[in-house]
Amino acid sequence: MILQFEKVKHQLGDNHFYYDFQTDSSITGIFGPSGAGKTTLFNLLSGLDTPQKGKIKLNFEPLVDIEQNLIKQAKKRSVGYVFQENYLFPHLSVKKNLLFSKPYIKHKNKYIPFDEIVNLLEIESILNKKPRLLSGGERQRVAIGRALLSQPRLLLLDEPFSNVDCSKRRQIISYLLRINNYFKIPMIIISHHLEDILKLTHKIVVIENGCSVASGNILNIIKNNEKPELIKSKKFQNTFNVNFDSYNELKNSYTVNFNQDTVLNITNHSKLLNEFIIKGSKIQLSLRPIDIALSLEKNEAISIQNQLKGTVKQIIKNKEGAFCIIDCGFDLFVEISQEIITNLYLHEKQEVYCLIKAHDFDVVHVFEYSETLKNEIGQNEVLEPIKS
Amino acid sequence: MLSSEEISVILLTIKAALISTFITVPIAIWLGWLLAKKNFFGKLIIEGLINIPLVAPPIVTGYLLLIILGKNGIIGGFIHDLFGINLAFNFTAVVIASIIVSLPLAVRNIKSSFELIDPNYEKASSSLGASRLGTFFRIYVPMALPGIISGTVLAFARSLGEFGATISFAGNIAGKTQTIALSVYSNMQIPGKESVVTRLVIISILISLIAIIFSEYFNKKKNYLLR
Repeated sequence: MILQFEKVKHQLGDNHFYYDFQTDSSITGIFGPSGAGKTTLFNLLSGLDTPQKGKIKLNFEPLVDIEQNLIKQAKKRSVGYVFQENYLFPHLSVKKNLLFSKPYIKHKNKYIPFDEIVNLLEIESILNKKPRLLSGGERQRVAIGRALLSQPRLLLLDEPFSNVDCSKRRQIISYLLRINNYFKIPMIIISHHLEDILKLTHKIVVIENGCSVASGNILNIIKNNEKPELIKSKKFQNTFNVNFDSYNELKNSYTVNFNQDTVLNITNHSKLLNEFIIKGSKIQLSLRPIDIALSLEKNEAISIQNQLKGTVKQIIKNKEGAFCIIDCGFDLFVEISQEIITNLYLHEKQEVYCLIKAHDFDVVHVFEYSETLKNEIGQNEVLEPIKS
Repeated sequence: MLSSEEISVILLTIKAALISTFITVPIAIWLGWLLAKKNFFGKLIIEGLINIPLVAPPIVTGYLLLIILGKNGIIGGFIHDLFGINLAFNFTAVVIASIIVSLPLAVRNIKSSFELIDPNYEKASSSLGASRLGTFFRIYVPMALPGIISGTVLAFARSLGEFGATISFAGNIAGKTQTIALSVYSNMQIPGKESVVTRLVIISILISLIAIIFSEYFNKKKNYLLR
């Protein structure tokens, strides 16, 4: 999916908006503070609002071209929109909400079936309920399902985590990754929580004061020092995929590997206990830059088991603090004080060890076992949770 | 027991109220939605014109109807000359008078119901592919249904009790335009007809009471449905 906003200008009362960016990621995060103009961007993209100037293109097809007087109607754009407040129709049951768009669907190619959405989002038991009887997480899942069943070629999610608590937030992230992985529908997600966006994607568009101020891979945005404040420790998280290797019941720890040379131990993740994972299953982990320590040599006399060898790729110093990007086979952002950089004589291309406690990893998502693995173990073999 | 004349008065009243309600409600739904959801030039004037019968003495409304729709009226004269149809002093006049006096009540009730609906539901519906007409019938009308039912009942009840506009525009012709209210009025003038008056009054109160209870019930449901 390629989405282009070309010099798009819009005005709402005294508020002026300007968007100029391009994204080609299967998941793009729109990040910015409240009131920055994120939802306005969605309204322009979905056709609920029309800009005064500029072009909006989806896969090179113009949705809006003001110069050419071309404005494609909202219903003809095939853009699914999950609103911040859900807006499930209160007079209709969950099932009727999900099927609302059925009479309007004309194209039948790449059709998402009702049953698959119901199973994937685990909403079978609530199909006959009215929306007012649902919890925040359930409402969010129904809203996502309803938008998906309109058979969109692009799904917009406005603050999908705003009305759910922390555990449900993790659940929704998991559902979104599953949907993206399973149906291959590109998504654009608005959030003012960078940590949530980073669990889904590294491709972001930063919106501030009604303007798109930076776009692209967040790692590059930070490396180029375009938006240094993005790396504030509480917001920024390293996210990366690893493969599940084994479970040690005695130690209650899991061994995962990034590649043959990089093996990690992670603990205390009840989420993994109930997952149907086998050796080779892909797991997404996240890790805060502040939870990583640096050492110039491997340390045997220490309780921290995860000691990743890497080289200093870049040192970033700014008013927000200091950070190192360590190349461990993948880029790992490490927060460190300026004083330590001086004391350790840290410099680029220097060999270091990243020390990470096993319980500092957060398990974001366990991906469905791959087609290859499914063939290896046989289609009919039942996968059991690794510990019941 | 009710006499055949009394039964015919009651049936004529109910028939006129039903027909007028049947015509009033679709117009009131459209006007209610328009006034609640759209901004346009002259909105206040239209709202004022609709509400005149609510505040003006009914006899004035009837007189205005006579001037506009009577045989020699501005529009009535034209219709009479063109089609040979007389709109005043017949059953049609009873229905027209009922529509005019009950319309503001129905519009006000239905409008307030539409006003309670968050406009973002329209956006949600539109994003799912629905046209404006689709959104109107699948979102607005069902969500405003308690208000629509309540407005319908009120319009029906108002039609049943209509007196001033009817007597001036439709007359008080027994078997033709005489409704319960007009019959009560006529019989009150005649000594010895007290029992007829009492029976018609009781019937009138009963029908009105049932209508008001229905209306209140659906009014309470209005907010409940939108939660």
